[in-house]
Amino acid sequence: MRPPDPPPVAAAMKLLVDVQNVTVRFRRKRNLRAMLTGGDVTFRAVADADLAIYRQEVVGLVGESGSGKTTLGRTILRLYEPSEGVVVFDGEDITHLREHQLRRVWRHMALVFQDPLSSLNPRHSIRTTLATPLRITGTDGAEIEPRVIAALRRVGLPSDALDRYPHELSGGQLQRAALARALMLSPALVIADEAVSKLDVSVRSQILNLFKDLQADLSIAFLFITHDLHVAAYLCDRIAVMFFGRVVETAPAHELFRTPRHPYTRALLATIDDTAEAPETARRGLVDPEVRGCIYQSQCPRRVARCGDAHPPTMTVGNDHTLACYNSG
Amino acid sequence: MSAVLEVSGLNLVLDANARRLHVVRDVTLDLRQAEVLGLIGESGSGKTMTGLSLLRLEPEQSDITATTLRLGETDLLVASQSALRALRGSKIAMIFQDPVGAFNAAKRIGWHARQVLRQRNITAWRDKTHDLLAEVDITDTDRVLDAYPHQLSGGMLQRVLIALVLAAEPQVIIADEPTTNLDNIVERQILRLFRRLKHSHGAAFIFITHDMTVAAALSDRIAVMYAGEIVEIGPTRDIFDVPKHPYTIALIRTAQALQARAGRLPEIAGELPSLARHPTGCAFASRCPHRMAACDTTRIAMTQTDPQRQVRCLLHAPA
Repeated sequence: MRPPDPPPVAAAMKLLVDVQNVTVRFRRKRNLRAMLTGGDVTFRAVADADLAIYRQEVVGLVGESGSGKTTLGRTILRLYEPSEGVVVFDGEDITHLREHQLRRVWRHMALVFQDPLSSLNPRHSIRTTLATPLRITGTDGAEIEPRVIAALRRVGLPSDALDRYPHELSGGQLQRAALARALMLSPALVIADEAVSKLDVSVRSQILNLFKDLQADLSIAFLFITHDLHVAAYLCDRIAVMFFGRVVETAPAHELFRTPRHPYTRALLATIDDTAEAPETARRGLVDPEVRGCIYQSQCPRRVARCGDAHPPTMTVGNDHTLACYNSG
Repeated sequence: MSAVLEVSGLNLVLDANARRLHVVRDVTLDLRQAEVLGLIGESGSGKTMTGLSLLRLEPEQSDITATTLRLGETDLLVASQSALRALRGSKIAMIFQDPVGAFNAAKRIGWHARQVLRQRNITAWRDKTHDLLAEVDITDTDRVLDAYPHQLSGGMLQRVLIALVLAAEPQVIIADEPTTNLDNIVERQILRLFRRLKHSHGAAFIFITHDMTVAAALSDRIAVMYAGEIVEIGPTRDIFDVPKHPYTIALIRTAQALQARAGRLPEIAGELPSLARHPTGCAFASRCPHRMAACDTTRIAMTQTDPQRQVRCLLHAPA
């Protein structure tokens, strides 16, 4: 068991997740040419990433498809094992724990997926789905039903949803059920991977409000993985921006939107300004994920000579503001 | 200006396992030359089915009826299959959300360009293709033409598709969520491209999207669909300034609140009605803050509120 939580003020300062210099490599699908030439048969999805999440903090991880944000999220859950670097969760180094050791850690983490229908077991009623985490962690039988009902109420589902099956629920109700399941064991960290991007516009605001309520009521830290900058700005205290496996900038949300420093962050944020004619970004050449030097150099309007030498180190450039760029101006 | 596409009283009923789903209900719209009409709706609102019906590509197990369905001089309802095939691509074309499906995976991009240009009897296809791709901001033409579809990124492929669709110079282009699968920066570039093409080509566009802000950035007029019906149609600026249908009002408010990072977002209670159980009265009534007794019992007709605008709501119906 974890020690009881310290009082809120101190708790807010405490590191929950500390990702240090993490690199994640995947084996490519059988690549004949690479095997014959002795070339690299691995693909680097995340490169040398740092990310901290404090207790009760809401962190957004933004970037485009293929930027490695889902991989980084899953590495924090240790669904992937990093090839380099360290993942610390609640003071414990979990980088290389075995699965039986991870079970203990996983009780304090939960994941919410983009598509709730495929993430819920179609043959389990909502009651069974919500009771299962309690049952397998040895909760007293008499305690289960009241806790399931409490969870249902907290996410705003009617009590007759208990005996329904996933196919009988609408998209919004399904995402509420998936969220209820994630909260069953009172986790310290919930990772939500594009959890609202498939929902219809009229339902999405209901779920966003629900996330806001949960953040206020529960002492949970959230990692929101999203490509939707409006959603990130709305929900998050702090935002990390990823580009091709690299975390290029992190800053408090309001500061990032007011004074973005990295040229990629600037280009990305320009896309949400619908009225002004934002500066055209280069975005012409292809990005080579294994390029020497800065990963963004082929796209960057502010490229200088040393961008080709080495990827810029991550520097602290302000209060809680980190940046990996030689020439941010 | 005269309408290039005239649609009135369009209905589409799908036969799905003995259930009859009325997915497009009494849709009336006209499209003028060089105009962009934004067709907005959530999934299941019938916007894609409307688009497909305009090309007569509705699913096989379905019944399509309309008072008018006319492209220029051609009555699309009675046109033969071969006549329709001749129209598609050359007079009316569709751009889909997923560009990959529009290409033959076993053929290079150059082959596709040649097919399109051959129809227009252009033999110097490589030169012409160079110009076409330049229009959609592709400069390394040779590399692109020699590539297979899977070797290009989604944004690149969507650009190529747009270029090839434009090459046939159709009068009407229906674009169904063409940027939804693309990343933010690429999406913005494609939208900018559409905006430019709207001026340079005389084509009329129907731009189908679920995203209010995308529609606003591009469209001259907007039609909002809900549960198979158009509930409001009018000039974009007017609709954003003074939305009239409660559903439109809620959509615009929600989008604005999220952008303003308001403390709490306005919610639209409830969910979309099931297609199989369309209510007698207003489809939005169960979620509407202004619901009246008559909303559930009467079939709501479109009301012309001013010369440019129509709304399907009793709040605006003549007394």
